[in-house]
Amino acid sequence: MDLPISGAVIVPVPGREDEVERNLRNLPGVEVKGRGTRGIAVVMEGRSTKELKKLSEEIEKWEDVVDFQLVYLNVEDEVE
Amino acid sequence: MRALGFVGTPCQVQGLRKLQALGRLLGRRLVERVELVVGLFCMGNWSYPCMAGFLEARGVAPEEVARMRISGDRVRVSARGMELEFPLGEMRKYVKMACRMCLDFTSELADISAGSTGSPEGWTTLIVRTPRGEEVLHGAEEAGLLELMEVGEAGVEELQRVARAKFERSLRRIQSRVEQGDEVPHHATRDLGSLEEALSRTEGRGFRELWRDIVVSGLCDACGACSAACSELEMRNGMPRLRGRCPQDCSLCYAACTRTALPLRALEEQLELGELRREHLGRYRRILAARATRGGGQDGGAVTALLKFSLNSGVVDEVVLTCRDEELKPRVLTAKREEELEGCAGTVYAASSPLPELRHRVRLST
Repeated sequence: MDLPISGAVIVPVPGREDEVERNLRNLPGVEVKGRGTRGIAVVMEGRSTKELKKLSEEIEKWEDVVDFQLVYLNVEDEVE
Repeated sequence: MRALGFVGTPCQVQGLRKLQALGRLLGRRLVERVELVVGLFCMGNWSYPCMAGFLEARGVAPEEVARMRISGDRVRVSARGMELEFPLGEMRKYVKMACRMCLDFTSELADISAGSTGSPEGWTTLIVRTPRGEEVLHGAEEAGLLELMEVGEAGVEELQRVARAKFERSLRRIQSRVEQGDEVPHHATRDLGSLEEALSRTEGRGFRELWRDIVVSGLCDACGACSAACSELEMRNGMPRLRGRCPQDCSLCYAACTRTALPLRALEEQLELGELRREHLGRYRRILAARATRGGGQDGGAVTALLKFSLNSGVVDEVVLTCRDEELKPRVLTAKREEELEGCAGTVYAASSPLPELRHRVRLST
């Protein structure tokens, strides 16, 4: 079974960083790894690529998000 | 007009061949004048941030790494005068998702494919596929740059075994995704008879759809064919990004992407590939082992020797290839001199996006 995992940098609208970070922390499967001038770094995990894709698309649509930069998209095997 | 050479992994070679075919079909100048394509054997590439993070977690900063090699199922790293070793399996999860669905180990659409599998240590296995591949190999041997020997049936079988293993593993993953209702178009379109037929599946889709169907779906191999086709795109962190406006009614990026449709058989027909064929190795003329008679290089240094000959004999004027910077990051380089080639010898283990640079060089050279 595939366990997809991705890393992304979320760029919030200036002044909305706290709210975006809070919303990200509330999303299941999303772990906030850090926040800097370039955005909020997150790692996202899903049970399927479909689920991960849905999660990415949801974050991209947030009004407080200017940019969603996908950094990597890998897959871990539970059983190879 | 300058002639270009290109060295790349199977997905990059596929991207280049699709761009060439697309250019011919649409009457557009995309990557013409690429006179030599050297494809590398590839089991998959790591995502750079993950690879760097893995090393850092083991106390090695990427910039401290003097040498990194995969040998069997071990990763060997030389850093700060020390030799470190990790099981390759520990790094498997850092391989790009797209690489885990790639079916090509030997760069089946190259003029000549190269890698260590199938040859004794210190030698490079070469799969000569086209007349251009033959010409360059013959020339390099005549010029005294290369020593050749037969690989033998055992070597070819070993090569085929590894290629089959990659194919079958990737196919299982593809089938699993299809069962879950996902599309994997590069597999579904492999046997289409023409590029036109493949493109009919991509009509009316632009970057928005490319991002949704390919990038966020984990199918993007980072080759950069989309960005090479459209100047409004750029590759950032190995992902295509829209830097300008998506032209209305344009689907060039979607059409150029090998993951939206890859009519492999139709692309093969556009090349003068040899008549011999082995499953998972593609079509070819001959398979042999080679090593450079002088100079550096990895696993026999045959690729460097072939490129040196190509530059010195005027087959190409410059070569676009990927090397690594001081932080092990892949860096696309255009080499015009032997010394530049030698500086680039060795494997780069993180994915790169060389096709936009190739397109740029084509533009400059015309």
